[in-house]
Amino acid sequence: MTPPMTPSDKLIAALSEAVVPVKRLPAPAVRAGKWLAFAACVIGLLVAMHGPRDDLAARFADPAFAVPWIASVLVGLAAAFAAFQMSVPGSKRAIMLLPALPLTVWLGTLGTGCAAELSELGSAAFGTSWECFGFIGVTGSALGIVMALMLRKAAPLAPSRTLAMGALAAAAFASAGLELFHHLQTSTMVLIWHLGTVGIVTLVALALGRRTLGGAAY
Amino acid sequence: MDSDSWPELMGRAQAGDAASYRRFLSEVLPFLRIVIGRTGIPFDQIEDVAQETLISLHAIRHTYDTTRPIKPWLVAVARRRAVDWRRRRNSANRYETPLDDASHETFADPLANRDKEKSEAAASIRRWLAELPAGQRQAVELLKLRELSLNEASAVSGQSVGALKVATHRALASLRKIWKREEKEQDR
Repeated sequence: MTPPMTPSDKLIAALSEAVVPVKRLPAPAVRAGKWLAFAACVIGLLVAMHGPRDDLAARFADPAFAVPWIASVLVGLAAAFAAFQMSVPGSKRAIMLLPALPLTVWLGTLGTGCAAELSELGSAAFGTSWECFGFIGVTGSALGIVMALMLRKAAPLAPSRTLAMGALAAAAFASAGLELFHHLQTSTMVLIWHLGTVGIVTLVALALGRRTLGGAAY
Repeated sequence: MDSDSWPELMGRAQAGDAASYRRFLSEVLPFLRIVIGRTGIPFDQIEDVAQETLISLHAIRHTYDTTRPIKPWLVAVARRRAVDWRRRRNSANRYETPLDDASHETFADPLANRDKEKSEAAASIRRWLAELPAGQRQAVELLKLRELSLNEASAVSGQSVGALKVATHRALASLRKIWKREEKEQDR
């Protein structure tokens, strides 16, 4: 005589009867690559629309510009890869630290330039640039929304952190794109208006993460 | 079967193989119970959380990459369900008070209720005894309330043992009638 089915046995029977073929999610690196390609197209289009700054070649020859710019791009790459990794259950927690090194370089180089400017120029190093705030805020949010739609197809079990990581990637790319056609006089202004806006976009995503990514079936 | 074949079973389940999927879920269930138990979920809730984990695994089965180890994937989902269970419980505790035995008492302290019930019962018995004829009342008081033996009660009251027995029998019958009458009056 077979023993009676427990509720868990019944659930397993029901789930296995309901099973249908599913399309396996591509690897996180592949999904990150797709988003990066999309982000590069959007940023490239915006740079082309505004026209790249005239002194771009000269600026890239200057480490004070080139190093933080490359670091900001690396932050975008690392954060995008980390976000897609985090969207799959079972990824290592340490993946969250992936953007830490380029972020430190970005902050460090801008901070060093900022300190030199403050001792040399004083309050003249400061200035306002709402244009930077608007561009990074809007472009970063738009790229972040596309990222969120892609992340929802997986199962981000830590939705707030995952979306914040995605937003960091989006805003860092927007900042790097902006620097290709928009000129800010001082590192202090870049630090405040670029990195500041990147920070705000990331924090907003952190606050919205549960509401945005947390409502899926998992 | 060892856990090394779980990725294989899951891979076939992703392709829609119901038998492999059933076997996979049945085999991972004990593992999930252990993982959930280690998160500190109460023993009587482990099965519920394990079932919720099974449902989640079903919903996100497309996210498993068969080339990667499966246990971290299972553990992450099971732990998340355990965290959600705690969140729900904390939320419920904020707005709800679970019913326990004390909830059905007049006072929160059960001892206080016992004393109250005792005094109410004693008052009822005194009232009922007052309605009995003197001989019957004395028989009940001596034999039932003071718990004397028949011989002792006979010595105290001066009634014979036989008379005491008859008086007690009649008294209990009368008390039963009074009690039923009062119950009917309360029901009205």
